[in-house]
Amino acid sequence: MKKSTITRRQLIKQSAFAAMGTSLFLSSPLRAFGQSKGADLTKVVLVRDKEVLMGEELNSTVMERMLNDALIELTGATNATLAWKKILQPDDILGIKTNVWKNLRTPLELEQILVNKAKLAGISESNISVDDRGVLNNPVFQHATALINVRPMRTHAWSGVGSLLKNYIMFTHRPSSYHDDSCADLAKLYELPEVKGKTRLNILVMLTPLFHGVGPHHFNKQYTWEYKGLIAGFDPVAVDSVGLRILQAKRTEFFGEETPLNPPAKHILLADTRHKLGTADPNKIDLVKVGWKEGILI
Amino acid sequence: MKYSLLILILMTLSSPKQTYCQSITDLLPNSIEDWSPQGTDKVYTPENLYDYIDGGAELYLSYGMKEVASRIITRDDSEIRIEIFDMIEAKNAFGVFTHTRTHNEMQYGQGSQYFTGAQIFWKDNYFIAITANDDNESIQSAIELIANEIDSNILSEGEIPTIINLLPDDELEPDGYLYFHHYIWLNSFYYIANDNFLNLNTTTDAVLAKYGAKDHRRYLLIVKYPDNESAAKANNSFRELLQETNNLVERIEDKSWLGATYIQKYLVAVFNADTQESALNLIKKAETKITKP
Repeated sequence: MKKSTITRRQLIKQSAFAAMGTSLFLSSPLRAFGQSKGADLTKVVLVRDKEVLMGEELNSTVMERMLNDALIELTGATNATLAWKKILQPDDILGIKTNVWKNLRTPLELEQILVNKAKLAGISESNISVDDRGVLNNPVFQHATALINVRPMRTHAWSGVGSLLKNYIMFTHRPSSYHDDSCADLAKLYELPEVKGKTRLNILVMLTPLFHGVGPHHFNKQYTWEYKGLIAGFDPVAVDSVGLRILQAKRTEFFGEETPLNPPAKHILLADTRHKLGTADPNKIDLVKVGWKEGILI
Repeated sequence: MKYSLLILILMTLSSPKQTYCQSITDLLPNSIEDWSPQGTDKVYTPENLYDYIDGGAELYLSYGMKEVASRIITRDDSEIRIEIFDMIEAKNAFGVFTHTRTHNEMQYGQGSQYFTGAQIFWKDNYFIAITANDDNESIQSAIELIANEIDSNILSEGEIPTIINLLPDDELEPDGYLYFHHYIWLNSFYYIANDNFLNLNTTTDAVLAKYGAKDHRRYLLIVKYPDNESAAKANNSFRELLQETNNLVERIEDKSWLGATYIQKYLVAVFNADTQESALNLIKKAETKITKP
């Protein structure tokens, strides 16, 4: 005898995925969540400006304005200077964890803006460093009291997406030890002493995200598009979750049907359900959208 | 003695290149006019593939890669990366190809596709990727020369896995299937499950295929297990997800139909069918293919 209505959630039933998998990984979320939005929402700011890119040229002034707008919204401060002072202290030692993947790196202009903002917040230049692959040997990162995590989002051949969570993989000497089950437990990186409790700000760069990968190096320009956005938040899981939904929506739009990331970016979901690092649940995220709305996809 | 030596020489001269080539780098092309090699040719194995492919190594490892030969050539600001992956068996090279291609242009080897500034193809146990940092006429012309030469250098062809022949032809999307062993690729077209509930591994052959138009899409999964018992176990795992119903197919919350059965060593499953009839039909057609002599 049939017990009750079978749901796709039950098909994707395996533990943590039961509830959120359908919402996060499918372009048309099923009714995985019945609850209404409550008071304890995690704020994430998506800011877009169509002037930030002119062809391949990045407009730094526009980029800085986007970042300011995002931080004012995120912190509730009345201006950008006050917003930064809520995030960084003058005695901080700041590591800006960037991403230098040659096909789609964190823009140098954005790195420079972050350094300038840190200096304006009172941190001395010698206590600020921008690094990716050398973080473990970088004295500033070794003594860091604060981290800013900044990188572009892109599809990834094994973890589904290159995310903020994945960006901290350079804090381990053995990145491949996090590869099991398509990098399911990347959130564990946040337990490393070099990282734990230090991240003050997460910025996902969505200027020209990669939504599909081909070839050994998983990059082809025909699968990027000018989204011209930044996603900022204090919770890396929530920021990644928003970015993931945008990429998923783009894939559906481009391929004309539900086209899951291959493999699915389960590490973002598990960062919430298994590791309790943050929230991936779209219903628990207060997504504030600032600026250009055309083609926003979310 | 002299006669034996003659036979040996004749055999060597007439056999495919890879049977006597010393190294996978022998399959790389000769120099292309106006293009210069950047550094020396490199060969990477599973042990150091992570150092070479930043973020993509696992795909090739999941299909059992043995080694990859890599050469970079440049001309002014243009760069072309030539890579030949030895996947040990033709079925694995074919699997990597089905993972990447959206359609088969059949221009090189046993299957190929050109993307913007990138040519991929497979032949025998080799998967080849030729990737440029740009896309223009001179790059395309160089890529063509390179692809042609590598294609010629690999003289033998491999067998396409027989499980592909079990896919019913009717309404199969052209080139709309993926061949794999590793459970991670189970969700390639449709999100099925988080974990390896069907116990896929190197001893199983699996194919996932798209049927019908995009707005009536349904997915067929066929897995070949080493024995009937393993297929039966996988079917039981599937039935558990369906709350142990005895029906062959079931309707789920999003109104789509899914179901599974096993036939000898094969598990056959259908997902996302818009009617009970279409789910049953697809299972039936696969069953016919499997059981027909």
